[in-house]
Amino acid sequence: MRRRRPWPLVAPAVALVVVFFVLPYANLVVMSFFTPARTRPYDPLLTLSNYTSVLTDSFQWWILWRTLKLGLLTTLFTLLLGYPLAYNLVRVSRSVKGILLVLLISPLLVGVVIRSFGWMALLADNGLINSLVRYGGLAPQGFKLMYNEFGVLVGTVHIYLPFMVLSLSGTLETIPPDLVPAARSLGASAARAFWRVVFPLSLPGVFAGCLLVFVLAVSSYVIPVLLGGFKVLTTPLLVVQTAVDVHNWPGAAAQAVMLFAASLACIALWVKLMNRAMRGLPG
Amino acid sequence: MSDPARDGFGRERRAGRGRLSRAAFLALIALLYAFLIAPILIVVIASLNAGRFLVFPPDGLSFQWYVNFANSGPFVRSFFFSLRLAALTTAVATVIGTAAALYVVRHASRNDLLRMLLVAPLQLPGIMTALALLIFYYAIGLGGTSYLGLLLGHVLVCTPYVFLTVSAVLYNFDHSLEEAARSLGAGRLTTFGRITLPIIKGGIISGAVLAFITSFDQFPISLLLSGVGTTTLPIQVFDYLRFSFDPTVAAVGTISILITLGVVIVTERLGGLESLYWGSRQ
Amino acid sequence: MSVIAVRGLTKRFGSVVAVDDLHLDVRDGELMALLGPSGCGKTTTLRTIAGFEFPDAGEIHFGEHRVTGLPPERRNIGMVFQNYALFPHMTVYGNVAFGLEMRKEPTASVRARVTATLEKVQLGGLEGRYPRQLSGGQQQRAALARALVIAPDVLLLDEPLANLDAKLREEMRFYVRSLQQEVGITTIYVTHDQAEAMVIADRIAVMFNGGIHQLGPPHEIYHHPQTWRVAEFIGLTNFIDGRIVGQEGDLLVLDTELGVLRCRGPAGSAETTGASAQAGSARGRSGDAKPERLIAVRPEAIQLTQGRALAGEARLNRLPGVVRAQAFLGNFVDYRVEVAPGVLLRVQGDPQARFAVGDHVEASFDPAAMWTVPAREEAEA
Repeated sequence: MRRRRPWPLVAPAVALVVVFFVLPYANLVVMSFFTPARTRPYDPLLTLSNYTSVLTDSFQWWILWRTLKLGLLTTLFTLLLGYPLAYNLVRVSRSVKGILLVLLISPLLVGVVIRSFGWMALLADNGLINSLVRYGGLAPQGFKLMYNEFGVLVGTVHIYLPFMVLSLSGTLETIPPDLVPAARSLGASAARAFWRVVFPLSLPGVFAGCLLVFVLAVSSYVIPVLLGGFKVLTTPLLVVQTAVDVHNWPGAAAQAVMLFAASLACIALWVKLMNRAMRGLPG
Repeated sequence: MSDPARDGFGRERRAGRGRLSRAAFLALIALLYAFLIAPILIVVIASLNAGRFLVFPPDGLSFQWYVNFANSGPFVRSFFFSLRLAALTTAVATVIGTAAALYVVRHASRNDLLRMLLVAPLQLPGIMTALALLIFYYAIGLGGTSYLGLLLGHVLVCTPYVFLTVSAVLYNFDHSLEEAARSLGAGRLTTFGRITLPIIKGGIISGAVLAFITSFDQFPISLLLSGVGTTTLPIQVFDYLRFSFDPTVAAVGTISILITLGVVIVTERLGGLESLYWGSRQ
Repeated sequence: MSVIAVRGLTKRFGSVVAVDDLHLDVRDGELMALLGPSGCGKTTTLRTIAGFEFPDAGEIHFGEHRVTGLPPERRNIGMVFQNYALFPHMTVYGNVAFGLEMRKEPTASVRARVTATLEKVQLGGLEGRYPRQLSGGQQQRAALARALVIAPDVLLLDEPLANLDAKLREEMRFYVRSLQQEVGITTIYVTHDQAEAMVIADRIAVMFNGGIHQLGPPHEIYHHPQTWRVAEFIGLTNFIDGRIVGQEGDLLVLDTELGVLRCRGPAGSAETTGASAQAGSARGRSGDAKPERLIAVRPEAIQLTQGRALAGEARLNRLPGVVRAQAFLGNFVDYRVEVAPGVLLRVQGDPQARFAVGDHVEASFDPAAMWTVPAREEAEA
C-alpha cells in the first residue's frame, strides 16, 4: 500500500510561478526580438535591430555604466558600514540583540516610497540638513544633497544596508569565539587577529552580501526617481520609460535583457574573484 | 550566559587604550543605527510639522497634514484599496505558500530545482518582473489595468515569503509528534488539524505578516499594473512626490508605519513566537 | 488474544536491506525485546509492526486480524517514542486523553480513565502541567500513561529510556517491567542496551544486519549464544580459534593455537557435530557442521592460580600464562593474561587474591563453562 505524493499541495504555487513568472520572462526575451511599431507597442516581426541599437547607442552604454557604478558604490559602502554593525550584532547579549534587530529590520517594514520621502525631507535644499547647516552658518547656500548621484547613493545604501548586515552576521555567528583568544595567545594584536583570522572566515558572508546588494541596487527604481529627480537616469528607469512613455516594448525588453546580461557578467567576475579568495576555507 | 569580563569573542575587556577604541567603535555603531532610523523618524516628525519643510529652528506642531490626508479623496481611496488588496493577497498567498511548503519539506526536500522555482520571484528585480507581467498580460488579453492582474502580481511576489517561513518551521518540526497522534488513533486529517497546524502556526503567521507588509508597501508591480480605480497607496504617494514635496505624504507614511507596527505586534501576541518554540526538535 | 505474528518481513531503503525475511512470534502478555546495535533493523521492524513503514514483503498479524496494510490509527497500538513525543501545546491531561478522544469516549469516562492511569504512573495532580514543565522521568511516565490508557492490544516501545541519565534509566527499567506485568499487555521493546534487555525481557531477539540471530530467554542468550556475534554483543567474551578433531563422550576436542582444548558441545547435538565433522561439509546457520569453530569463554569462567595449585581434574583445560595488565574495579579485578605469544585472554578475578603484572599464573577453565560457535565467515570476520 504505497502512498503517492500529494502533489496537489504544491500545484497552485508551481502553476503561479510558471504561468506568471517563467512565462512572462520568456515572453520578455521573445519580445526583445520583435520590431517596434508606431501605432502599436510592437510588431510580431523577428529582428535583431533592438539589440544592435542598444549595443551601438553610446548613451545607453553611459547609462549602463552609471547603473553599474551605482551598484558597485552601494555595495562598497554597505560593506564598509555594514561590517561594523554585523560585528557588533554578534557580540552583544541576547536582549540587546533583539532590540538592535528591531532597529535594523524596521526600516524594511516601512516601504521604499515612505523612506525615500524621509530622505527627501532630510536632503532637500530646504530640507533639515541644509536648514541646520545654514543655521549653524557652515555654508550659506547649503549643499546639493539631492537630485544628484549623491542623494541616490545615500538612498540605496540606506535601504540595502540591513540586507548586508544580516548576511554578514549570519556568517560571523558561525565563527567560534575561541579563535581570537587563540590568536592573541600566539602573539597577535587585536587588529592582526581580526584581519588574519576573523575576516577571512567571514568571506562567505561578504561574498553573499555583496552579491545580494549589488543585484538589488542595480535594479532599483524608486530611489533614483525620487532622490535623483529626472537628473539621474539609470537603466531600470530607461527601461520603464521606453516601455511606458515611448511604448516601445521590444526596445525596452532588449534593454532589460542587456541589464541582466551585464549584471550576470559582473556576478560571474565576482564569483571568480571570491572563489580565489576563499580557497582553503571550510565548507 | 554572558561573562561581563569577556566580550562576544571571548576576549577579556581591557582597560586603557582598549577602552578608548571600544568607545569610538560604539559611537560609530550608534551613529550607524541613527542613520538607519533617521528617515523614519523624520517622516513622523514631518507629519507633525506646522510648516511645509523641515527647518531648524522648527516651525511648531500641527495636525494639518493628517487633516489634509483625511480630506484627500485619492489618498483615502488608495489607502483602503491597498488594505483590501493586501488582505486578499495575504489570504491567497498564505494558503498557497503553506501548502507548497508542506509538500516540499515532506516529499521533495532534495528537489533543489523545485525550491529554487518557488523562491525565484524574490530573486529577480521587481521592476523587471512588473514589466514582464505587463507585456504578458497584454499578450493574453488581460490588459495592464485589471484588478485580477494586479492581484496575481502581488500574490506572485508575496507567496515566496510564506513558503520560506513555513518551510523553516516545518524543517524543525518533530515528526514523531504526528506519529504519536497516529498511534493513538488519529487519522491523517485529524493529526494535521490537531497537532501539526497548532505547532507550525508561528511560521504561518510570520509568513502572513511578511506577505501583508510586502503587498501593502509593494511598489514596482503596482506601478506598472495600476490603473484608474486600481491605484495602491504607494503609487498614489509616489505620484504626489514626483512633482512636489507635500507633507501630507508624511501623514500617510506615519499611518502606514503605525499599521505595520500594529500588524506585527498583534500577531506576536496571538502566539506567533511561542509556537515557534514548541515546534523545535529537542 | 494478543499474539503478534510476523512472517517473512522484508524492508528495503534504496539498496540497503534493513529487515531481511524476518519471522517473529510474540506470545500473549510477554515482553519481547529486540536487541542489537544501531542499524540492525530493530527499529525498522518495530515501525513496520506499528504501521509507519510499509514492508516490501511479509505479513503481520495481531491475533487473527491481518494488520499488514492497515494505517497505524487502525491497529489499536500503544506506542512510546524515544523522545516521548508529548504534544507540547497540550497539558498532560490533554495528552493522555487524546487517544480516548480519538475513540470517541464520553467525557466522563475519559476523565475517570485518565485520572486513574495518571495515578498509576505516579503523575496524579500534574494533569494541568505542560510537557516542558515536567522532568525527564515524568515525561517518560506521561508517555507511558498516554499509550496505556487506551488499553491497546499491543504496546510498542522504541528505546524509551535512551534519553534518561544512567541512574534514572536503571530505576525506570524495573518500573517499566513491573507496569507491563501488572497490565499484562503484549509488548515489544526495542533497545541497544543489553543490560536493559536482560533485566526486562521475557524473551530477547538478538538482531544483526536485518535478521534475528537468536531468540530466547535472557539466561539462554547469555549462557548459550549461538553465533559469535551474539556472544560478543552480550557480556564480555574471549574467543579462541579452533578445529574439531574428535569427541570424548559429550565433550568436543578441538585443536587450537593454545593447544588441545576440551569443550562442551552445542546443546543436544554432539553426535551430529561429530559425524558431520568427519564428513567435513559446511551447512546452514545454527548447528553448523564445519570443523572450524570459535571457542567462547567468559572472563568470569576462567580461574587463575599461582603455578599448579589445583589438583588435577583431567578434564580441565589448563594454560600457563603471564599477567600483562590488571585493573582493580572494586568487585572484581580485570586481568589481561598472555597465554601464548600475542594472545591475550581477558579474565575477571577475585579481588581477594590479586596478581601483579608479570606474575606467572595458570589459567584453567571448565569445559562446561565454554561452548563453541560457528567460525567467523571469511567475508564477515
